[in-house]
Amino acid sequence: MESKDLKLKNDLRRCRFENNEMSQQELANAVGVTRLTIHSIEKGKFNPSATLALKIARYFNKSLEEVFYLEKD
Amino acid sequence: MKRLLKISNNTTLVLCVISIAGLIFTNTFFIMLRNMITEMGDVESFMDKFSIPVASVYIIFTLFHLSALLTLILQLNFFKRDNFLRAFLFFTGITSIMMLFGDSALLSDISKEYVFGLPSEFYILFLSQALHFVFYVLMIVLLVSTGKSVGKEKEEIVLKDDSIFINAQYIGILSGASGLVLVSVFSFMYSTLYPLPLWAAKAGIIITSLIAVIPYVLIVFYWFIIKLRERIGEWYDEKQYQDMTKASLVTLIASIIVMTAVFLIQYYVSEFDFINLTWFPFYIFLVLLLFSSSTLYFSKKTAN
Repeated sequence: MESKDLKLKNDLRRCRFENNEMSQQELANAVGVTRLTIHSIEKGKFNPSATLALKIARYFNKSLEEVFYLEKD
Repeated sequence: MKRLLKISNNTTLVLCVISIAGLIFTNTFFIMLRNMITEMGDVESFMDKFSIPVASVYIIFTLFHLSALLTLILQLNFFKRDNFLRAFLFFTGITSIMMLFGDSALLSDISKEYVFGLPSEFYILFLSQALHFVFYVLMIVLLVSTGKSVGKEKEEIVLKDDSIFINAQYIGILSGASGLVLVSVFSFMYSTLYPLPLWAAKAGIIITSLIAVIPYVLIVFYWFIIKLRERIGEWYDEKQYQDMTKASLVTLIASIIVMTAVFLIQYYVSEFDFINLTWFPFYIFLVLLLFSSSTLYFSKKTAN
């Protein structure tokens, strides 16, 4: 499989629900971005920077790969 | 916050209804004045008789505008979702309040010039009344539609706001588009249909440009005040940076294409010489329109 066919996906929605059904706004406040940014990441329309991805994973006490992963487009 | 917004909403609604009645009164006065001038009646005593009631109504208009702008700012803070009607009302509200002072200048001119025939200021005066009317009616629509949701809406804690960022783009689009139209129409009309001395044309272009740009300057100033509590590097989040970077590239390419076309047209078509006088405000409004619309497009595209 060529790397250009891979797309960044995430389990952000599931993580939020497992974390007391927290809202997008609450997560945005926790990692210092806007709600629109969290919404766009969840929808797969915006790829976060490594720093933001790590901040999100750390917030949920998970490894980076548990929240973000590559999948064939 | 919720209580303050409810009080502000209700006060503005009451003042709005009174102002609509006042607008009917002042417009009846303007129409009667116009008829009296065309029929060569006793304009002076007519104006003397109505000057105090009209001035009193204008004081109510000013109070309503101030209350409406306060309500709009409170709503911008309270409702964390962007709303085009709110942004549109912020733009028309600022323009309308500036036109209140414009009305007073126009009436002063009319009172001096009516002896030479029907002053052309009446056209601008009635255009200004139409703007006030649109603002008053849409303000009622907003106040009624948001009145109930103020009670229901949860007060959310938002550390990094995106609604003011999006609203600033809406206002940028409105300022840019209206500035382009006003500057183009004004300069075209006064350089071809109604020739004016150069100083008067320049003054007219500056005034129309200011009317169009001030709402954008104010929303950016408001956004800047809010951002002062954050470090400069944190003024935007990474998605906003990315959206603005893409928008800057679109603006750069599109503005070069449009300005080259404008240059070629004015170079080869002598009727378009007026661009010489207005290229700077034209460029500013073009860039504002392109940047705000493309930023909004990229923000919304990745969010839907």
